[in-house]
Amino acid sequence: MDWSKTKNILIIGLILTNLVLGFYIYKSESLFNRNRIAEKVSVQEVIDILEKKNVYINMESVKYFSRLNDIEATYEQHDPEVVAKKILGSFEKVGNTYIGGKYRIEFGHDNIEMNMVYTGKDLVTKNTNIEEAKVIADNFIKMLDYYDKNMKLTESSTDGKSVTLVYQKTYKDLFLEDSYMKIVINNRNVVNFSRKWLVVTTTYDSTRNVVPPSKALFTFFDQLGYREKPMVITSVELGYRLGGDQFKTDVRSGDALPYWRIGTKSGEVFYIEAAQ
Amino acid sequence: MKLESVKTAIIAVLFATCLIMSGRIMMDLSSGNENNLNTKALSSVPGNVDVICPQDYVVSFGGGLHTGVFDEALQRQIWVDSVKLIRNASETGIYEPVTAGVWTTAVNNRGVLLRMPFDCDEEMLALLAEKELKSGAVESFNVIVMPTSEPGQFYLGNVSKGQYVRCTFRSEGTPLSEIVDQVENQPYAEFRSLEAVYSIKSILNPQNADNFAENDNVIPTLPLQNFRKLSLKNDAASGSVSAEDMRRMAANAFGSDLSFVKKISDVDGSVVYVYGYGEKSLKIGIDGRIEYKKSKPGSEKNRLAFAEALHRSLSALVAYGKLPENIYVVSYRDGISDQGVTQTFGFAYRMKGIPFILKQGSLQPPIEVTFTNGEITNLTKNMWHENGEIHSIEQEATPFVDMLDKNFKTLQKAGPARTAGETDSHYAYRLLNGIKRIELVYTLNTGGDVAIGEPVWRIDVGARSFLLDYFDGSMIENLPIEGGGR
Repeated sequence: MDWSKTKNILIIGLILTNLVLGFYIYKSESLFNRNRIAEKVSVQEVIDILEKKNVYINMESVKYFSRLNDIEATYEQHDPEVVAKKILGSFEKVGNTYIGGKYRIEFGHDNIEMNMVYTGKDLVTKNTNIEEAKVIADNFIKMLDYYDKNMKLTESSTDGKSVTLVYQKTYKDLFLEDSYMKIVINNRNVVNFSRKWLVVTTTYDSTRNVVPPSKALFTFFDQLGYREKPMVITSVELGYRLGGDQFKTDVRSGDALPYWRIGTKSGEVFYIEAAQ
Repeated sequence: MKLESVKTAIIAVLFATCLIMSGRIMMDLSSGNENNLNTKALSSVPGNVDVICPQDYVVSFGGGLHTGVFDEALQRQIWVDSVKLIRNASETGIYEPVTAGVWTTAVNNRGVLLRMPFDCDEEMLALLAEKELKSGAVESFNVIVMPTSEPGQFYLGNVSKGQYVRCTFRSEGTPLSEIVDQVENQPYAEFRSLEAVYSIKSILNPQNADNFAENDNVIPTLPLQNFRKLSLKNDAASGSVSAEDMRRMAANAFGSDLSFVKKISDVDGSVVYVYGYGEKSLKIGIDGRIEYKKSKPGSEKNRLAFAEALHRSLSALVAYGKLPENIYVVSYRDGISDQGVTQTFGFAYRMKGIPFILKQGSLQPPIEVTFTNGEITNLTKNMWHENGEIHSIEQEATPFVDMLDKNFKTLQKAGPARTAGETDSHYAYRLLNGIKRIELVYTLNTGGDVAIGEPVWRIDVGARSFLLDYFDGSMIENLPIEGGGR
């Protein structure tokens, strides 16, 4: 038997097989992983492309981690009796609503959400100073034992009468979406307080590659149609979100996935899948 | 010699590369492919023919006297024997259209009447016959009549479409004769046709198609005594599915690699598995409802053959736990949606010999599978089973005729429009004549502390299904008929 000839035939056969397999893999990746195209695109190129769509970027920097841990988070359940006692002192309970003095507190979604409303008529039109409001809010949150070192003030605004402050839960300084404390202060009093708060229960050892911001913007561009009115992007932030299933689950707990959150000057928010 | 060593090394490298790439492709194919849904328990996937079967079984003794068959063993025997006859006919059968008069005579003659759950066509008849049929005569049928007095014949009819076909084939006898004799020799509940009870033809003019249509519905002349309320239990209800079983279901739905699958718990205790960023989701509901959804199906319009789609549905369902032995196809819809070609199979099962269905805005099958462009995009499975009968003192059934009288005004709401100058009596007969479907079903009531299966009469008038309490005859509710009904 001519071994040398057999080896030649075998080499040719294997090369052809590898070419077919390689082509199959290349084809499936180019079909299903369009993001690979975006990897070659620079931030400047993306900015240029977005501007052609009437979208402009006006922000300073983007915080980016190339890998993120998988995490599991659970919504904290309020203890209505304890909360009502701290805020109202004595109270009357009607279903899930606690009434005392000039306040009414409602609890919903298995006590995951709470909303306190001031029902008095003595609200003033006097402007409250935002810095002063922050101190009042801080004291109020501490009084309820809801102070969390992993939280960030994400919104502070005033309509001339009241000051609205929104705090968001963070994980390693990244946002944890749909986890907030919203406080409205008027006349040095907290007149509205709503809270829904996530707690990270597990940080898994497993990590995921995170798509770079340029790629996230490219994907955003891909999803966005042409805008008649100019859009100005003011923030591109990395964080986690729960949910996202097709059953509109009223989430109590679960595994969170990384997202890029793109905010605009007009207040629109877009989410781009960040794990690859 | 050195060249030979180099060649050997190249072969080794190429072989290794080949193995790595093959492995990669195998992994790609196995993750997130719905074909994985059928990797388990393939042996327990029911055959297509096992799940195409009638909704109602009626035995006729001749002279317009009938009875309903509610014994499941007997139902099975009737269907097995009937399918044998359909298969016999596939060899020598000649299909020919017949008149409504011939059809009505066949319905009232001695034999068996099988009411199919949905409109069938020649493709489904061929599936039962296990042979390709090209008669051209069978367009649509939802009732099969197997006369025992004429062993070499059977009839296929669709009253609402006015289509009647007789199949004549070579036969030396029919095993159904014995069954009819057997039923006749035991105590049975007497059923008569609406025509026999109300003499509709004597009021409406059968020659006038606007006024009169053939109606093959039969009703009991005395209250049935067979049915009780049932206490029901769900196989996958809260706490009854272990974490391991849930993971197995997720692996069936998304492929064995669960690294890109996240788990979410609902406030109500339901558990949801999500693949990636929501492309596919699987929910194991607190109420035992298992639901799978896939978004973004392939864009290429693709319609699966009925038999292939049915087999794939059953294989997928088995992956989420055992199926009831008496599962059958209760509805089939084939259409076009925004996303492409959709094919939806509804499956039901029986309790005490009658179908079990759900009320969810309309009457819904407890199990449903939808394909979009040939891919499963929706699957729901509600597996309830009987956990004993509920006995109470007021469990006397209302006579059917009294129940119709009691609810006549409500039924009129969905009935035909009155013609100018039409008398009440004439209109009442026209309404009776227009009843499309009368059947006894179990429906689920989860309103109280326990889940209850309630026997109800379903009466289809116009585009509505009216549900009437089997015991006191009161109107429970009326719901729109999905897809226009039979």
